[in-house]
Amino acid sequence: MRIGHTDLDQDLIASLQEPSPAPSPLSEAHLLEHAKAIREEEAAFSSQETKAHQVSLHIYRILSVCAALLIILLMLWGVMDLPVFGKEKDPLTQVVSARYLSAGLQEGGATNLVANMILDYRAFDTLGESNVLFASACAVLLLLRKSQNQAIRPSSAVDSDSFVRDPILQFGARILFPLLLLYGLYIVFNGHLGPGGGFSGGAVMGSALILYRCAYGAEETAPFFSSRTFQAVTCSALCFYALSKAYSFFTGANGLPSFISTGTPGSILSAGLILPLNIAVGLIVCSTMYAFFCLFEKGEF
Amino acid sequence: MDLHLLLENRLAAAAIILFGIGLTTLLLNRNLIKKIIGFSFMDSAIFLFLTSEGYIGGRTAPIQLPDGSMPASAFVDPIPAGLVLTGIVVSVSVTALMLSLTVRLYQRYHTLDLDEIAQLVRKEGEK
Amino acid sequence: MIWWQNLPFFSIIGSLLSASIAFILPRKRARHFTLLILGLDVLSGLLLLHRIILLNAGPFVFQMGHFPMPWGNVIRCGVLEAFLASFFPAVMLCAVAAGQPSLEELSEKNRESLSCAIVLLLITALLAQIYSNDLFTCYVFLEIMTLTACALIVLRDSGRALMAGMRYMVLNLVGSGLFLLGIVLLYSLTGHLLMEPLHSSIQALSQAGTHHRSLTIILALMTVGLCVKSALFPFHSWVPDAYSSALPSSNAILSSLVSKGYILLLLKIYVRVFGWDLVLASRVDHLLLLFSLSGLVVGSLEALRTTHFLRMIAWSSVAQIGYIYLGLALGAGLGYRAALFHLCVHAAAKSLLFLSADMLQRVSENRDRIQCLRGAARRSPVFGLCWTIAAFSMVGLPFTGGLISKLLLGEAALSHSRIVAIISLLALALSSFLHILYFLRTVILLWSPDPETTGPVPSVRVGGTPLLACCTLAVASIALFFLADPLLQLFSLGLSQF
Repeated sequence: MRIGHTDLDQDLIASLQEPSPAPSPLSEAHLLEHAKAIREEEAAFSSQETKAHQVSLHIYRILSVCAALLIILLMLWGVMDLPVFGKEKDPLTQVVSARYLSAGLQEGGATNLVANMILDYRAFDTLGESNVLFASACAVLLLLRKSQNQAIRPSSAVDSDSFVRDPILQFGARILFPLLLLYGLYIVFNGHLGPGGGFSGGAVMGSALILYRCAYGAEETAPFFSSRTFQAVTCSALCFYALSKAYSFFTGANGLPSFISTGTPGSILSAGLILPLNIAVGLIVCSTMYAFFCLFEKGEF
Repeated sequence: MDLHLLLENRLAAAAIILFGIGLTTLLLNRNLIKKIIGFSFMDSAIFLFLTSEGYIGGRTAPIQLPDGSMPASAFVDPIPAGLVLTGIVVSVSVTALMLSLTVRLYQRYHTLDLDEIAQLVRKEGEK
Repeated sequence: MIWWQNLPFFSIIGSLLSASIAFILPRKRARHFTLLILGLDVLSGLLLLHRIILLNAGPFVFQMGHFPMPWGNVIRCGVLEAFLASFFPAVMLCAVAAGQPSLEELSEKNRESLSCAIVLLLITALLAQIYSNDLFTCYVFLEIMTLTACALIVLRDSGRALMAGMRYMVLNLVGSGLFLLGIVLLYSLTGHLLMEPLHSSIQALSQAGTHHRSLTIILALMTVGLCVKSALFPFHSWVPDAYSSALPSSNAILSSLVSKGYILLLLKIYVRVFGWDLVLASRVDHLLLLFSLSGLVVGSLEALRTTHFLRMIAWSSVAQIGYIYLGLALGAGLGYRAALFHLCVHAAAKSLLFLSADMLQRVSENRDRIQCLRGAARRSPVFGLCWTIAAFSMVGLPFTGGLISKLLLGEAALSHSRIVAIISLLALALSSFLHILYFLRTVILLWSPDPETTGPVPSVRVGGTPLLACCTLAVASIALFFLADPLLQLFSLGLSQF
């Protein structure tokens, strides 16, 4: 509340400073009226300000909408001569994908041709992608990890302890947690045989861990997943990934034979390095997702 | 202007429109959470565009049988699927970082409006 | 494959592995480990460069996997890539070494190993950008650079740093989104992601005369995306806040290396993917010319106006990025060479400016107004001399590399049409004049005796490493002048092989 230097204020101050023996109804009503008048004056003043503010806000919004329309129209005009949706593509533009589709099974060994592509042909991109997740984990740790003197805790209204020890959630989590974990592991292990892979499986496993933590609280999960666990899992999985892919790149570039065979397509132990890499990626994604949740919720594991 | 091309490529057109909306929200909206939502729109629009570019009518997902009997002409383009996968992971990582920045800023300044935060920072600096 | 042709691969993978290892190391070991890995990167780059020059070898391709281009990913290395792969890690090594004192003052010990992991990830991404031959790989490592650069800004835990980090992320994500959309559109037109096959497809498309509009839009998207990310005017709003609130080593790394990675990628796209003819035909060079010339003038004017020391250096960064983009806009041959030379000059001088500025502030009770730094150079002569050399290089005085880059830019401008030449030369002259005004004014202020110094000078215990690092960068700035001829020959050769 801003106190301006108006006459009403001076009157009010003067009337307050006068020693009054007993609060008489008249002076109380007088004070109330003064207070109301001051409030009205302030409201008039701030409404003038907000009016100018509101007008500028409106103009800003209109300009933003115009800018958006301009960008959209420009790009629509530009991309109208792209190949038509759903039609057969020009064979010249399909040189790369044709080989992935026809020779993928022999060269990569996985029946999931997309897994072949991301973990064998274009493995360098996927290596970079896992490290994007790692970089983001480092940055979030830097920002949100609880420092020694103050708790960097999101000031949300929900106190995370309010739903711990809730019997319905715990019952549901007790049933769902192993199922979710099993499903996540299935997706990871089957990534080279069908749709799936390390990223999607890791996300499911991470969500299983998050559910468990929500239901049972940090005291239960901290013993088996602490900061040390996170460091160990992330570092070893990333190192394994980088080293195995380095072996693959090195032997490929130097023309050396690689002892990793593609195995029989369709069996679980096939497709060369794709299965171990999927497991590594699954572990990285799972621990990173869980770490994000812990850091956002409490600032510590 | 070939407007019927726009209708035929309606998924790509929708993706472009979403991209434009997301881009301007990210850039011009003052609320931090809305900026993050705008970024999410923008990336989802690119994924939609990429996926629609890879689709070929009448074909199925690129999962080969173990004996390799399905011909290459039975599958859609696998490359966009891989690119979208990478893109989603990048998008998640960036969203996590932006959200943690938002949490810290809100902790400190108790507002989600970037202009107000700029004013408060300036006042802090003048002290 | 000869043994030294594996060096690019080893430096990228080595830096990547060491980032994961630095994550778990305790603080002091992480610090030494980072310096060791950066030193190894510099050595491998120098060895590679030496071999390539000695054997007069052409550019070679390293297959990342068992499949050749265009099905598998490849990295490519020529003489220019080898030079940059030794120069950039060297600048980063000096920046990290000289930034140790301020990093130690950070509140917690576990932040330091995180910051080491982040620095190593950044150098990995930078090396991958230098060597990469694939657009999508470039995008992924671009995102690593964005994330790690933001982490470097928010390393200092102040409100201003957080807000600057947020602004930085917003603009960079706009740039990434535009760039990714460009890649996606290009893929849908050509079906390729590797640069050489893309080049042949684009040539075929432009000769057939179809899709001219789409190609122009794609080129514009990629250009604007990368310009936004490297803080070219008018997308520079995060620069003054970020540089005035971050740690000195972060400032040095951000200003001298991160924006350079993006500019290098744009150069690669112009040379290897599209070709200069297409760039000319789409008039994108006019756009670059407009932005760079305005950036030159606006950056210098704002630097003149501000009274805050670090903000002045930040605004001069905006102007210097304008110089580099002017070189890019002036085109193939002379323009690109000028842009590359100024890239190196700026990398060395700007990091030296930030690092020695921090030292000068320490001996002046950490004041940040320029007026309060009167006599700082007398209190700390070595760092004052370093700052002076760096300032001279930015202005373009003789015996510093800045003079050569200004001359090269002028030469490139003169090889163009009359209007372009006149406008560019006028802008160059105006900007140089403004640079002289604010840099020399500050130098004079730093060296003039301070009548108010009473009592003992605040003793600053600075170890040998920051001193050595700053002196190395100062020597580099001067060496760029004396070694200009061989370097320019190297750049011309490298660009022809690029």
